[in-house]
Amino acid sequence: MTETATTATAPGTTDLVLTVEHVAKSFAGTPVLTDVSFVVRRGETAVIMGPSGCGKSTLLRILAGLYRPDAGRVVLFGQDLAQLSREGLDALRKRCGLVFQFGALYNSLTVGENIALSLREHTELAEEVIAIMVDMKLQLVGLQGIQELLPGELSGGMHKRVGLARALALDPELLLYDEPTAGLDPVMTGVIDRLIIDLRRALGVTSVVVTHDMRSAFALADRMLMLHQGEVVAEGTPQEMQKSEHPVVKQFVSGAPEGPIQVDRVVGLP
Amino acid sequence: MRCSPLSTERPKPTPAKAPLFRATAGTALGYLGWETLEALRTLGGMTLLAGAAFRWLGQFARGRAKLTRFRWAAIVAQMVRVGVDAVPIICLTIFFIGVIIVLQMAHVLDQFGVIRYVGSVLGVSVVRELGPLLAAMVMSGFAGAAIAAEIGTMNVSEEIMALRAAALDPVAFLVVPRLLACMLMIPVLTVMADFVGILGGFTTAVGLLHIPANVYLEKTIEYLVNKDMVTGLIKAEAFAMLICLVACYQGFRVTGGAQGVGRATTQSVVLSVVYIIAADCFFTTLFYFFWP
Repeated sequence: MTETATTATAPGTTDLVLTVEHVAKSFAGTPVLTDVSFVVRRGETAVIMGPSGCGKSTLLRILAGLYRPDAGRVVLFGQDLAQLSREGLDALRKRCGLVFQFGALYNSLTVGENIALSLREHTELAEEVIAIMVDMKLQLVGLQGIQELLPGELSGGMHKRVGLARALALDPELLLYDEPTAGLDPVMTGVIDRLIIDLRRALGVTSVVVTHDMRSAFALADRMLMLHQGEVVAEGTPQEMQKSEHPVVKQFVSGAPEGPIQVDRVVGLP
Repeated sequence: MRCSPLSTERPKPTPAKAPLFRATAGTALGYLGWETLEALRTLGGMTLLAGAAFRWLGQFARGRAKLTRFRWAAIVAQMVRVGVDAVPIICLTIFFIGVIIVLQMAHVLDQFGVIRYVGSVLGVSVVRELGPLLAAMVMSGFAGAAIAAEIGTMNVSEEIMALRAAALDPVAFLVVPRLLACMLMIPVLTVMADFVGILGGFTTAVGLLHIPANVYLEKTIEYLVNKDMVTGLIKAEAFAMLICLVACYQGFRVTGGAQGVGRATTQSVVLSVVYIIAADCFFTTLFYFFWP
């Protein structure tokens, strides 16, 4: 899969996995996203950066069809999410894997059952095959043999990795990561970053990563988008972003407390 | 690299509408209005939830939705939690109620010289009214609170969002097994409550009031008709649906962590008690006029 260098790719091209056009969303009268537009091409890893509470998670949920945007259009695998019936939306969701910030594992089920759930519900596979597949997914994230543990018995890093294994259950074409490394120690951050890169290399999945961790952002990204005040204010390759003179990007990359990003502005998920 | 001009102005949050509650909470009328709105809102949400659950059951009946072994297991697990666990507490309380009614009624009936009819009074009131009502009350405390807390916690920890993201319908997954469990278990619990209630009255009447056992049983059976049992069971089914739907709805709309879960649990028990009594009143009136 070759990557087109031009940013002016017309929407509808088969190369585009995801097109977001002028998406806006507010919660209880507070605007979280005002005008977000970008595209994601097949096979690439796009990283959406932004300060805490700037609407990154909201954006990711809109992409997964979990929230309906107030305005704008999201086209996923060539289909407009707003036009789809529930069955159509579910069919698309099976092709996407969403990795939650805190894992969001089903607490009453064991690790193995968590991963097997989608397989049991969406496929006709025999239990023995499912057991093998669960083992394979756990192997991918480096956690073999913990099928019988309950989510409550896992550490934070294991939680996230099991969440990733669960998202991989149906071999998705698009993976959406919500803060995959937030709250992890530097070593575990490195492990998760490596995992995301390996998955992309091994399986060729397209990824959208939402993060405020600059180290992993630069490690993962083919392309980076800066989200600020509900808009994408800058977009470019990691090299471009590193050298950017854009005040928001500059402040975010350097971590300066003073600048256009103001910390008192708390707008986020309810 | 694409850059949009950076606006120096921060987006002005649109002024949040002054919640009705704050404006009206001070007055008694305002409180009443607020609670009425809340009850109606819950009723609306429950109706939608019931619609979704029965639509799924309809699809299942027509073979368009499948019930995996995993979900059969979930239904059985819910039946145990909703039904079996409530058995001792229902038996204990309805037994006492049987004792109480017999003792309360004994004096009145004695004045008319018909104390032997105490069994009839108890039998009819337990089978028609107290059995279903008590089974439902205990179920709302047992199952309703547990369902609201469980779904609420899943909501807070984003598990419901994760289900939806994995194309798994939360209604089919969480509401349907619980609704089926409640609706399948309530008749069992009700019939059991009826028997134990009558047994409680029987032991008192025979042991304390020295009414002959055969007279007591004869009078109990003589005045009980099929209609008493049927109306009792119809009411019980309605109660079970109300309990489960209130609890699921409250769980789904939890916001704000542990506190929110606590609030939803309390609210679900309080509302289901109100709805149960209201439904009881409605059905009793209905049966009084249309099925005398």
